[in-house]
Amino acid sequence: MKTIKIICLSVALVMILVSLPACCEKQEADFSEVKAICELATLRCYYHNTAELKRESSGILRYLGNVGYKKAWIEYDGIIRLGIDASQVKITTPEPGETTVKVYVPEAEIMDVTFDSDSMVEVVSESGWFTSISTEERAEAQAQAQKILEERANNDASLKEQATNRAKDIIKRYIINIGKQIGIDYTVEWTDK
Amino acid sequence: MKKKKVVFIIICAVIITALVSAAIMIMSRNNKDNKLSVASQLTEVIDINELSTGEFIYNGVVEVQEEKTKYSIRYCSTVKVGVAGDDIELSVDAENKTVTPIIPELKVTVVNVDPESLSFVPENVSVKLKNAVKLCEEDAVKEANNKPELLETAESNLKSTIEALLMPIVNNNDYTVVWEPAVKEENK
Repeated sequence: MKTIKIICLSVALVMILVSLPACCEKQEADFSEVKAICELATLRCYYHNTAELKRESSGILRYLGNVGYKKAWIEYDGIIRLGIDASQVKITTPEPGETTVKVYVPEAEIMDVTFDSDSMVEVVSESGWFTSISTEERAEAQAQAQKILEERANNDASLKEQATNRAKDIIKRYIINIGKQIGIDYTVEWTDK
Repeated sequence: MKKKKVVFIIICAVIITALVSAAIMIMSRNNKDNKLSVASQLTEVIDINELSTGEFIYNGVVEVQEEKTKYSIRYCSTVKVGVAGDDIELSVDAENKTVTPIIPELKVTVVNVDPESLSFVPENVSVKLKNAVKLCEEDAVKEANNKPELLETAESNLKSTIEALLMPIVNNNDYTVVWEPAVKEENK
């Protein structure tokens, strides 16, 4: 009789345990969409710049109508795309009962720089007597402008910082929103690697 | 008699199990019901003071015509397109399971001109720095707001931000984000 009671209770217990995961299965966070999130975090930066073309007159010509002196300002546009390498992003799913998600995000890198040569406009120019700006000099200024845009994009720390912070902010909100979906208030901790 | 007792215990065990399972299922369903509706959840996730559109470099030239003098100033500035979360409306179609964010017309709101970056043509023009910076700020706002490429770039960044914020809820509820081309036309 006692054995039957134990069997019955065991059966009941097993059935309860089997039915438990049905209500608890949503409690596990799934951060598998982080790659798509990183792609959405790509920052497109419009860049408007003014290049300077300048030649000084030399010697006595400086006092003779500034012959040889020429100066022009040329405006142009470009687009710089910055993003983070999604394959390097690491998200440590917290253990049950913990709410801190540890995340590593690498620094954003320049993905490409697009120079819009059609946008080039010579807005200001002045020159000395008998001096004009040649077509070759304008072409040289264009090449220089393109080079400057690429160099500035690569050396502009604030641009990379802006893109990294944007990516971090979007990833953080993504994690928090995933948590809300399963009823957990996640906090994000950034790690160095 | 013994057999009846066994049957009774088994029935009791089955009833208890059924009751416990039913209670667990009801609790689980209640949890789901307690969750906010999809529409309010979506609105909640984009309700942020400021949504990221990006800061842009705007190094321009302003031509100034005063009473007797005419000169040009070259300047370096950063401009920002500001959008608050509550400026964005979400149109949720529960039947077709689509979410259409409606974004406002984007405008450059913040400009920072670097006073040390100013240079002049002609070089010997006499201008107060404070006035020159003000002229550059006004020019940057005006010119940047007239640059469709700048506003399109800001819009593209804003759309990506919104999609990323909505993604967990949208995917969890089998919704899709739909963008309407009319928004672009409004900007122009």
